[in-house]
Amino acid sequence: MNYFLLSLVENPPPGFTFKPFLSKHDVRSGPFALFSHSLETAELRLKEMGGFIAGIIVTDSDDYQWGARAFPIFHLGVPPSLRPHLSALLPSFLELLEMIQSYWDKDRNISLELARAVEDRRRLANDFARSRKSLLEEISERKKIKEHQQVLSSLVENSNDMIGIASFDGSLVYLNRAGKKLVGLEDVEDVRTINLRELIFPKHQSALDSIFSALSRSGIWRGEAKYRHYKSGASIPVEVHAFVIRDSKTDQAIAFANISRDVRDRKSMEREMIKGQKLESIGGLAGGIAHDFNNLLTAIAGYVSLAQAQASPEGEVGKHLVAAERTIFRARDLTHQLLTFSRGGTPVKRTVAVGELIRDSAGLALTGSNVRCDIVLAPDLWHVDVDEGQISQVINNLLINACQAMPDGGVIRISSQNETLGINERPPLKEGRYVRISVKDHGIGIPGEHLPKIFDPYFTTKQKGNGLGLATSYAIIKKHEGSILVESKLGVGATFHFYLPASRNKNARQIGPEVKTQKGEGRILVMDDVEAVREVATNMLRSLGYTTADASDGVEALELYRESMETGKPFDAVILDLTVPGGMGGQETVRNLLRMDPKAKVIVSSGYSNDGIMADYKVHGFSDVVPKPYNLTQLGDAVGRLLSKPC
Amino acid sequence: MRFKSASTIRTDPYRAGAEIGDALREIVPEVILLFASISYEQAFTDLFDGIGDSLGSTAALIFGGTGDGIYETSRVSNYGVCALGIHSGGKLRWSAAFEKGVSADSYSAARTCALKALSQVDGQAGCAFVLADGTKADGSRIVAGINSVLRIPYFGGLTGDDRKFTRSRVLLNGQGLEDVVAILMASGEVSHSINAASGWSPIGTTGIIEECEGNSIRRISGVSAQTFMKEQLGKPLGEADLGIIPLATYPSEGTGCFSLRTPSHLDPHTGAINLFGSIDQGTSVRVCTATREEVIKGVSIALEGLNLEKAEGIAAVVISCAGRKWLLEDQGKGEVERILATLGRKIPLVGFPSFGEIGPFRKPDGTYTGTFFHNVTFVVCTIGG
Repeated sequence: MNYFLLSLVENPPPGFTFKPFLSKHDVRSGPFALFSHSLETAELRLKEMGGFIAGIIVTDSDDYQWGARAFPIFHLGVPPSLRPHLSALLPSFLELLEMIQSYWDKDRNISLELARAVEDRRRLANDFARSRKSLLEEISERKKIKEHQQVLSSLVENSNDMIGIASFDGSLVYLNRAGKKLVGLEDVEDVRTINLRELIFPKHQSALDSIFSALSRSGIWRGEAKYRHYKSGASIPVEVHAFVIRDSKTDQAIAFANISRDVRDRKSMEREMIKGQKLESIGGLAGGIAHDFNNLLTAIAGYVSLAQAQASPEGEVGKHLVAAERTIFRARDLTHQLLTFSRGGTPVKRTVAVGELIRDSAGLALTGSNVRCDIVLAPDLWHVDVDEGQISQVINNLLINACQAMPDGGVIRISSQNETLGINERPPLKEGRYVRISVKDHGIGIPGEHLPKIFDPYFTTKQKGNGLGLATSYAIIKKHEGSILVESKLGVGATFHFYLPASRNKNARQIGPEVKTQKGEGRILVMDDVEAVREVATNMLRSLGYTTADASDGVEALELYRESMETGKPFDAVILDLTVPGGMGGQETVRNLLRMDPKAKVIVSSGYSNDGIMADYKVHGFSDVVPKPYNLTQLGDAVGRLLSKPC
Repeated sequence: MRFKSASTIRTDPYRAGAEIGDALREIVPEVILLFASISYEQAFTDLFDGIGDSLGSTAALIFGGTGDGIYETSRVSNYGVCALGIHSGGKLRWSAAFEKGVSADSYSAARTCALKALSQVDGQAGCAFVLADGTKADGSRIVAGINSVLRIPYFGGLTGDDRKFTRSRVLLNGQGLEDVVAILMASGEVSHSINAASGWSPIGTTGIIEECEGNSIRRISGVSAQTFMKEQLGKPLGEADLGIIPLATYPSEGTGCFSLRTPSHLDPHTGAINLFGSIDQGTSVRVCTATREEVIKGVSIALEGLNLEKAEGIAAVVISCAGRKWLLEDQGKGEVERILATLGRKIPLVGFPSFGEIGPFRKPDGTYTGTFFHNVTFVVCTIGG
């Protein structure tokens, strides 16, 4: 809206410019002077231009600074009589002009500021909306990252391996739960107060420096190391994988991460394995020697047996022969010990009741000693599938050691109970049911440094000892898929525990005495590569009433058997040696025999149990077994038993 | 020398001009530095007419431009006109030149303009004041063009509007000019002191601009420009940060000082950032932050660097930034208050919030760095004394 002023003067001042015509520019830029004949004409004219009369000033031209202001004023002629009246009523031109202009400026400024404020607000609203959107996206992404971090963090925290981060001066930055437990820092509130060097032995500090150098050079290091347990100072062998952490922007190394795995169990298993391998190699050697020795013993035992058959038991010769036989069988026990922890010491298992086995073995072992045995058996003990002779040997060995530990006498406690073992339990056995047998003495105890070696062959602290007893026991229990452990405190005593897998059979074989010597008749073929064994075996058989033939290897035996079948004088039984160096052994011979004569009755004999053939003779086609060395009774018993069976 | 400042918020261009002229008449100004809000664009000629009619003469050289408001000793406002009248008593020779075409080639236009202005003072420039159309010119190239000619420190800014970034004018002798760069040069013994400061501080790591074109930065140190700023700031750059969150750019001359560049546009697809002013590939950059208090403190830092031995009888010309004004939310009153508190409440002072500032840094020994183009920076020049 434009405002225009009227000035009512009779005569306009000199220099005043009248505008006879109005232009739109004039109207817009007002106020201005308009010369008109009448107020009505002026109003009409102004209205056409979008303006109107703002006010009417009555003034004397002499009072007004026309020239200086140069504001054209609208003049209208009024009667002189009205002039004074109007002058008194209306404000001065300048004042009105100022007022209108101020109002105009204010109005305009307000409009401008308002427009600016609206614009600013609109801009802010847009900025806010866009910022909000991108912030929400950012928040969403950060949530995902945080979730991912939580997953990773959980993986790290719950790892079984030690995972840690340290700076290059050794200050720990982070250590996961497994790490804290491994090195004994569970109770430390803030691992950042700990330096890695506190977890390393002083003698290994320089090695740690070398590792740092290697990390700086190549960024990675792998190897074995030993931590020092923070609380106990114990040594903890670990496998370490360390690598440098770099700043993603500058690629500068800022810390290093370390993943360590406790290898104590692995080391222990390695030691066990090495021990086993050692035992195996020793066993292999021992087995070989025992085999040959057994053959010789077989011959000696056989001849002694034959001589006994001819001598009077009351006479001096008879007594000497009995003593000789006893000695031979003691020698046999020694070879059996050697064979037991050799590769070929496979147990010949039967289902037995543990309690009975313990009682019989204990009774025998402690005969004549000043040590009493206290047997405590849990009710309803499970049966076990064992080689009774071997397990008796184990109990015997443990009891002998216990007796020797208590030279002044005492009580040995043998206990047994059922145990069900789970995964990762001690001892390290397969999950399942076991019978645990414990032999506890109150003797002098075993020094700690000896405990790891106690099951090694030939390890002994006794003056009179061959160091094979516990090694043999260890091998026997291992072959029975069990485990043997020892606990001991010096001055208090020792307890040996051994675990045997429980049998699924509910019926146990009764342990009973040997069957007496049987005489018989029939044709028996003996095959053995050792001449002395062939000779004594055939002599013993003939003394029992049998007719015999012999062969030095399987080929010869098969030939003889075929001939006997062709001539109508078949052999009634065949005794085959299992191992024939350089020739056909018993296993191959029996297969061929059975092809020739499916009803052939074959006994396997060996001083060297080979891959369980002696234990599972029936599976391999044999009808019976007689281990070497055997005496007359044992040989006669085996042949008599076989011949009494129907075809 | 005599100085007088005046301002008005009269909206009518002629009346505004008349009021200004009326106020300056007593010192018979040779030169009038005139800054007006864009709202007077409907009739800049009327503004000049008003000044001329009031002065009773059109002999005064009127040089100025539009901005996002006005600063004057007695007033800080979003809309209005302010002016500084300068009378040197014949000691100074004045020249003014302008050159069109900054939108096409800011460097060439600036260089040509500088040569013109210099030729008018026979190559003897003592002091120079530069204005260019802020909606069309590339401030970095303007400065580069002038630097190729002028060997003296100079100051100035980019004209603007009320933060709409649509149009602006350089005001020169009765005309409101678009798409131009203009230089006012004084030759003779003109005592003056210039300094610039912002109050922003660089944070984070230094990045190197690996890929850019004109004023658009695409990649900094292996990542997109937006990613770089986000990583340094800890938050993504938003629209609200345009014109406010700057990058410190380090010139190759190795002065250790930095000039600021603020983002003008974010490309969501490429992650590129457009700046107010072009930038060269290989430039080192760091993100900056500042609180409002630190931004205001930038004014004090700028003033502290001035030569104020002869503080009597001086006038001050201030080129601030529309971005600073937006951040401070006080129309710039805080900045003017700092100046008046430091230089005296009666000092003739004029200025305006621009779309880009031009000025050197004054070193402690009184010498100057090169003249740079800045964003969100406070440039002050005292003259006289």
